Amino acid sequence: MHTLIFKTNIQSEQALKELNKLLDNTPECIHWSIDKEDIDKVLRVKSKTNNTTEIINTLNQAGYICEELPD
Amino acid sequence: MRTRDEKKIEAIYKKAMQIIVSDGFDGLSMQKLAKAAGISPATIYIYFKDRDDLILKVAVKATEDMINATLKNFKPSMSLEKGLKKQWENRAEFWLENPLEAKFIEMIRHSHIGEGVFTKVKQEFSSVLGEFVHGAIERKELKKLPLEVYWAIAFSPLYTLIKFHNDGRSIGGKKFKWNDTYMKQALTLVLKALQP
Repeated sequence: MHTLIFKTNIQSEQALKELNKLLDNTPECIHWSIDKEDIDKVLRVKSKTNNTTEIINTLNQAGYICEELPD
Repeated sequence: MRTRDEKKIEAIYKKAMQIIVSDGFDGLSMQKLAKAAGISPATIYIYFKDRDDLILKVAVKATEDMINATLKNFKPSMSLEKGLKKQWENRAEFWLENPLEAKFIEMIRHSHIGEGVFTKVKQEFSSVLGEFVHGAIERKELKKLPLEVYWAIAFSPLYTLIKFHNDGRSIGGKKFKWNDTYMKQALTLVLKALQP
């Protein structure tokens, strides 16, 4: 299992609900959480693959910022 | 693939305790911690999902370290005298030699997360110490007392001496430094008080 870390702009309850739907439809995503307290609204995904592109694209297409947070 | 880096985890735990002890729980943020530990916030998020998760894990680890130190070379079958002596030595060593963890654990105890942390880790601790106390009562080495009264008499004198040492001062601002003679004097009296 891989842990993928992203910087996002998910903040409102509405955005969180939408994110929930988006990630539920992403089969390689096993489990995820978001730290809304953090300045970077960090999204943490436990994934079957280490492919970050699909999650970034999914969020970007829905109009959200999503970048991989570098180590 | 990212791999688990024990040195980085160690640094995260230590810096988190330092920040909490100096700035309080609210003074800790993932960004501040990353800066202090010289790592990227992303690295912290590999191991912890948010601030609350981090604080809980750091608290559990500090408490486990304390419990392991307290139970080092201690057997519940020991006599009251031997067992209590070992307990005092172990507790004194831990609380005197790890001032950062000691202060942090005190803060945890007095915070809203305290109860959760202790119920998570104290089970073995309670059963080992419970067995020791019950054995001592059965062998008529220890008076039968309510747990709180036993604990207050058995350990409060020790923690008072430790506190004096950590403050550098005792009553009325008198300078104080720990020494083993004080510990032995106090322990002798405690044993006298606890024996039937």
